[in-house]
Amino acid sequence: MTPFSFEWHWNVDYLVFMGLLYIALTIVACGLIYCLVKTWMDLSAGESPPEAPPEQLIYRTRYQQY
Amino acid sequence: MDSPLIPEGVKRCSPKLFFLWTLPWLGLLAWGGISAFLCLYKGLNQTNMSNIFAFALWIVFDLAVIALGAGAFFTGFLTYIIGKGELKNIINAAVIIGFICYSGAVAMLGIDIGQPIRGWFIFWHANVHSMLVEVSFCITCYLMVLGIEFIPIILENRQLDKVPELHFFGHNLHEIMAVFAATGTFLSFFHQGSLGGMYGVMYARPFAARGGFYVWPWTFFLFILSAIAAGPCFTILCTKLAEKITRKKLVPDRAVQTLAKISAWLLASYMVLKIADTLGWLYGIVPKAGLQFMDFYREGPYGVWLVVAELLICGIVPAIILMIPKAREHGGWLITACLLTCTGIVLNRFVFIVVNLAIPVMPFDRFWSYLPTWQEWGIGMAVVGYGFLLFSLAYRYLPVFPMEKNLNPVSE
Repeated sequence: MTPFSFEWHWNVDYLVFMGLLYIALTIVACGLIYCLVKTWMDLSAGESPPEAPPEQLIYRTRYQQY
Repeated sequence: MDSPLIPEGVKRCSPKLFFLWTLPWLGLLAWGGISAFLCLYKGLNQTNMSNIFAFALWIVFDLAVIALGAGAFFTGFLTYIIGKGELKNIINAAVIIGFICYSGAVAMLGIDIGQPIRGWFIFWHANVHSMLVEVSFCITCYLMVLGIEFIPIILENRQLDKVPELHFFGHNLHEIMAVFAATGTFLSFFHQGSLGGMYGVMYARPFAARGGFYVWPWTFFLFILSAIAAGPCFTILCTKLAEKITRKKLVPDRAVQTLAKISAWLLASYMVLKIADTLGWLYGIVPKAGLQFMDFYREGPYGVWLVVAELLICGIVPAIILMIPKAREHGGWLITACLLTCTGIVLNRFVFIVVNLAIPVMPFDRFWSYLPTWQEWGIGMAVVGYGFLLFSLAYRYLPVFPMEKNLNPVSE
């Protein structure tokens, strides 16, 4: 449901309920877009995947190396 | 044959043995597939659900796996937000278990709603005052978040990691995992709570109805607390089962002990509040409804033993075991306590769904009984089969346990 739907009412119930949903979805979407853009920038910079990740990176399977 | 896909430095069984291991789980999936086909093709008359039991076995499975899958969001919260570093050894397993639980629950709901083709109605024509709508929104969004949390683990597969695009994408996702973990915590908090709230607001059913704070009945908070207490226990149980089957040590004791200790305090707090809630219900809501405690347990197979089993045997006992450091360090006691906690939570959800609907609410009502059909069991068991299959595949091809290599050095 969006504010353009015919069932939408401009009251606090709809604003809180749907607002929180759209905030959560926006955060997830922004996170994904950030990752995609950063990946594209990393690839454009011509970086090759390091054999061992740099120390400051927290990497799930390899975190014990740090 | 599949050795290039297996993580480096670890040992796995032969493909033939692995195929044999997957057969029972494929069998359960086939049973579920036939049941799902019948339910979708012929309709919900294939089940023993009725106007009385609109919520039945599938919802018991749903609520149980959602509570048990809470280990994913809670372990993520402890790891990424609170900063419990030792839990990084178990977070991958917790995420996969959570993903299995939530995707299984959503798949089961797809059959339960009867007409999955209209499943989107709940999102588009949302009733913003409905707890069930909030549950649907949060579960769907959280499954999406769990999928995103699962992606970096998949991309760490030996062959996929060689692809630069996937390598960088997985790494970048992992860098901002705290954002997804925080969003997941927010979504989980509300859907776990609303699942409980849904029962607490059933004012026409004194067995489930509760008082509360503002729009949230006490069951809202109790469901959250019980889920975050039982979720880590289920993660520990699955890890211990994987260790038993693979005959390897997969997670350092420190990670398991941290989870068990946190779970102990949460379970103890839950038990105190649950007992207070039960007493409040017993001396408040029940007499106000003109009933007595024994009126709820007079008929059918659901006697007072349910209360004793849920509160004492599967609540207070495991809380005490987990709170004693010497007891939780002992493998047998730890598994017993985790098993009892998980059983208690399943029993709690069963009581709120099936027993609640079976008990008569009017003087002229009768006790209603319900037994699931083989089709209903088939769908439920398919989730179990799917869980075993996905976890087995993940364990075989992905570095699920980061310390496995160090804990089990392979001699050349």
